[in-house]
Amino acid sequence: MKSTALTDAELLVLGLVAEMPRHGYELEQVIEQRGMREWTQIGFSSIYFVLGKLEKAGFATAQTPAGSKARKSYSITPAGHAVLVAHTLEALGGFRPTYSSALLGMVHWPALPREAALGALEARGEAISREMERLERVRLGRQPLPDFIEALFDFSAGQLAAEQAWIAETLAYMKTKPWME
Amino acid sequence: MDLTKDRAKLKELYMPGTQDFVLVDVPELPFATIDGQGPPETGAGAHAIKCLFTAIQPIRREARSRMGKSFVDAPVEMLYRADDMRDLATGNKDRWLWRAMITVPSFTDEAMFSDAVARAREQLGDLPDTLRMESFEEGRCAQIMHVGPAQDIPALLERLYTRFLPQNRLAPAGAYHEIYLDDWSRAAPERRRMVLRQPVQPMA
Repeated sequence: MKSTALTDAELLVLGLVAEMPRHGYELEQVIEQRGMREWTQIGFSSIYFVLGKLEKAGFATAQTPAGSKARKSYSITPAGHAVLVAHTLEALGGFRPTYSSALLGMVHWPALPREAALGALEARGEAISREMERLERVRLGRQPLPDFIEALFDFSAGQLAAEQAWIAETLAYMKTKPWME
Repeated sequence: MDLTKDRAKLKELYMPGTQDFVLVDVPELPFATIDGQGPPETGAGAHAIKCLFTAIQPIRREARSRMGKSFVDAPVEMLYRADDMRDLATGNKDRWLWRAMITVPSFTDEAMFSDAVARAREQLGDLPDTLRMESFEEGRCAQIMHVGPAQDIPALLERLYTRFLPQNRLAPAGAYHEIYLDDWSRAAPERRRMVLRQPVQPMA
């Protein structure tokens, strides 16, 4: 299979078309309902642009039902399915490190006055608590969710919880450490 | 009955074959339920299902963490009845009464349920008055698995009411029941599985 680069938006739309044949407006509704814009940039007009690209690449085909007002309905092709599987495996199996601003902050820790440094770390902890609460509200608002999406929320919640534990530990340590101004 | 401890019964109740109607005995099970009236596919039905899932979310989560990999998600079930049963057969949906329901784990108690409902109310605002937890036993039922679009159901029901039940000297006894095993927003019509179930009694 030739290697084909897909943008995040293309992969997203291809996956939705793989579930069942859908037309552009329906895709817009599903993307909105599932809150997919929280992690992908895809505008309403770009859905049609993306569909056009997928069709041209042979990853999706359009059926136009009879009737003048009929909307094109897109379904996935075998080539499209192969690309979807390959890219999804790559996304899941390939680890792509992301760098937190906490790293940059810690690197220059000695440049900070003590109270400001400890205060900033505390503020970070509070921001994370708010984000955890927000995620829980989003999760509750999207019920029902299939188990693999629950697992996706567990992933984000777990990352935030790990960071919070790190903040608590680091604060406790730094507070007891003699501070040289 | 705790179905999570009896996998064979769970399979018998929720995974019948697609070929023939079979008879099963449905034990008493606890449900979260909401009642409604009119065509269920319009706003009220969808809203009821959303409310149910939102309300039981903390209970489902508790079940998931207690049971780990043996956790099974409970599907949406709908009971349908009409005061004049001919309205059901002729599809006169304005007269349909329905109950949307989802089984809850056997450890769910009233306090846990009302806490969960309070959280759902914060999220969704007003919830239907009929939202409650209730246990009931359907007893002997005829059922079959249907895979495919909803428009194929009437032919199957015709087979149930005019052939299978009379041949087995049985008559309908209670609300017609559908169990939806797939999320319709994620599964194509030809792949949607649903259990069609009808409580029965011996023919008079």
